[in-house]
Amino acid sequence: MRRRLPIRAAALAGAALLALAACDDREDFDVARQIGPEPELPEPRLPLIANVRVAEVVGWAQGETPEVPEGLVVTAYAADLANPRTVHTLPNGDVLVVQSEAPPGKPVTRPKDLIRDWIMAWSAGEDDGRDSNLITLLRDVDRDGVVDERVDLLTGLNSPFGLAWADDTLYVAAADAVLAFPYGLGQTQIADPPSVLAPLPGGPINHHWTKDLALGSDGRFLYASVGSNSNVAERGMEAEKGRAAVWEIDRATGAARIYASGLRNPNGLAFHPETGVLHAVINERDELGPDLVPDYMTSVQDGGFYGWPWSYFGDHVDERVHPPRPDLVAQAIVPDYALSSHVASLGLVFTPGSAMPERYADGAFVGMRGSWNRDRFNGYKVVYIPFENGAPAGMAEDVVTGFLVGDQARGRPVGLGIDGTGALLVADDAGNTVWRVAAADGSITPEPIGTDVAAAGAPTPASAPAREDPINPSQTDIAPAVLPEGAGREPPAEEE
Amino acid sequence: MPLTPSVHPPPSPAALAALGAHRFFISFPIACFILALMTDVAYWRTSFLMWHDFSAWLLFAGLVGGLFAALAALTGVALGARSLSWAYGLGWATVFVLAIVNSLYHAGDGWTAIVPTGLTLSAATVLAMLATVWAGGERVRAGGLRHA
Repeated sequence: MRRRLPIRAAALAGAALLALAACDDREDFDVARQIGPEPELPEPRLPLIANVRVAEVVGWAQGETPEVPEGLVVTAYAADLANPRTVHTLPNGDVLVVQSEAPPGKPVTRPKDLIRDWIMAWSAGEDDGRDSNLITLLRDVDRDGVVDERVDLLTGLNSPFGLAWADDTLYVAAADAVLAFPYGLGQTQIADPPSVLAPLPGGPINHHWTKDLALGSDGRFLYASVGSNSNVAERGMEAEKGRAAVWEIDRATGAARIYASGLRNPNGLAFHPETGVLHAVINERDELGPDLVPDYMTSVQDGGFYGWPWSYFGDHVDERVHPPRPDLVAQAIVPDYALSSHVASLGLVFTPGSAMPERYADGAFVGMRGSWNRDRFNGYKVVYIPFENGAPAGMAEDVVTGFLVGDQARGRPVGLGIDGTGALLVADDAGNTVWRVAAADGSITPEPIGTDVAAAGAPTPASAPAREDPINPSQTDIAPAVLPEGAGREPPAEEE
Repeated sequence: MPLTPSVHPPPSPAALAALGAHRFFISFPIACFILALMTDVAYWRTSFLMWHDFSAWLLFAGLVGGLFAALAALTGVALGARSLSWAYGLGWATVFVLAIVNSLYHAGDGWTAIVPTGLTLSAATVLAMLATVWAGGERVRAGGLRHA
């Protein structure tokens, strides 16, 4: 008896290990089945060891560029940058490149965090010691697609990401606030300190730290994206207040509210230039297997709730979140267009008004930084999604590729923009380059079009009808960062 | 003629020191794995994720303690200590395999990391550990003292 019990336990443990190893066998899954409005969603799997495959960042050798299809040319618009994440074009055609790195000081809550942080740092490429967290101005004076002047406009920022410009004010979405710098077009330096327009949920965790920014169609509001503080609420819902959401901020007062929530890690905020509807690309959750959950592009509805963390793609419940909330799952909106799993979509730009060839004249480019939670790579490219009548219509096609060669990444595309000549810009944060993808015939727009005014003149979107069935508990209970407890409800009866 | 109940030569002071170190370090997995079962139960009953974090660290600490305990035990055996039984060694090996698998489960996110598999593995780990200590622990102590 004394000897048999441990042996039986050992046999049991061995059998358990074998069973777990076996469940990773899987037939090839065509990722194209997860692109479009109705992605195929396999059964969730909880692999014992997460599928992790990360490309080693090797950078671009002299003369190497990404690849583009016939009819396009690609050139390095600016090289030797320090982790360029987003690009933003001002109305005069100047391009601002935001360079940033993850804010330091994230606490370790579990032994797993140590391993995870190490993988993430490795996939971002080696730290070359250059100072990041700055904004560089690129000026193409003669509009020939070649940068003539380059100057660092702002340095020492707190992990900036999104930008907007209006009324001689440059808005910078740092990792913890929207800052407002007085800045007139053409200036090559900013001397005045910023004011804080609105604080945003920041550290010390700040898991998804990138805050994107877009100016609303009517110019009154700014829209800021705030990613979740976890994969799937494993740090507790108290860490998620105000997060996994898009905020609406009044430019005049800084007053802010949650515009939409349940969006795990939204980025690439952009208003469709014809419909004036806000769009974003969202990074969905990990560790449900290599083919869950697809990232997506969607229009973002006022008051909309998109499921995170309780469900994905509408009512697909994630059992990892406890206690379950069937009431909220029932409210979850199905997003517009899936982009396939783990591609890490971070950039979105619409093409109407650009000088891209006819084939790309009415649609959106999406930048995909590339997968880690998958045994076969996915993403690491820029795709084009055709639109019709302001909505995605058709299969995504690869446009900018060649970031990945074998097991090595030469770069990783993040933010996208249209430069002052109407060409596509791609911020490559691992390759430290901004790429310019232009029509091969050299056509350019007659005038520079700024990122912010691209939507000007667009009809004001019909305001979303008020919900007849207010979500219970209210949106502000899910994400109450902007309202104190009890606000927005019936005032309490006066006490004697 | 000296009276000795043992057929083996008495273990060297170094071997006894290694066994002492083993008994010190083995207290880590014993305490940590029992506490991990308790924090798993706490998470199961409350859904409060702090208990999940506790369990993950306790399993980690128990495994680190267990590594040192195993090194000390192997050192003792190499130095001639003969009081460790095969059942004892195999039992602890089982416990640590269970705890490693359990750590991988606990590295998952949220409810399904613990309920039901993590919790079950924590209970199995404690049961295997109790059986092992009962089967072999007495002999460690007796063996160590007999030749002191």
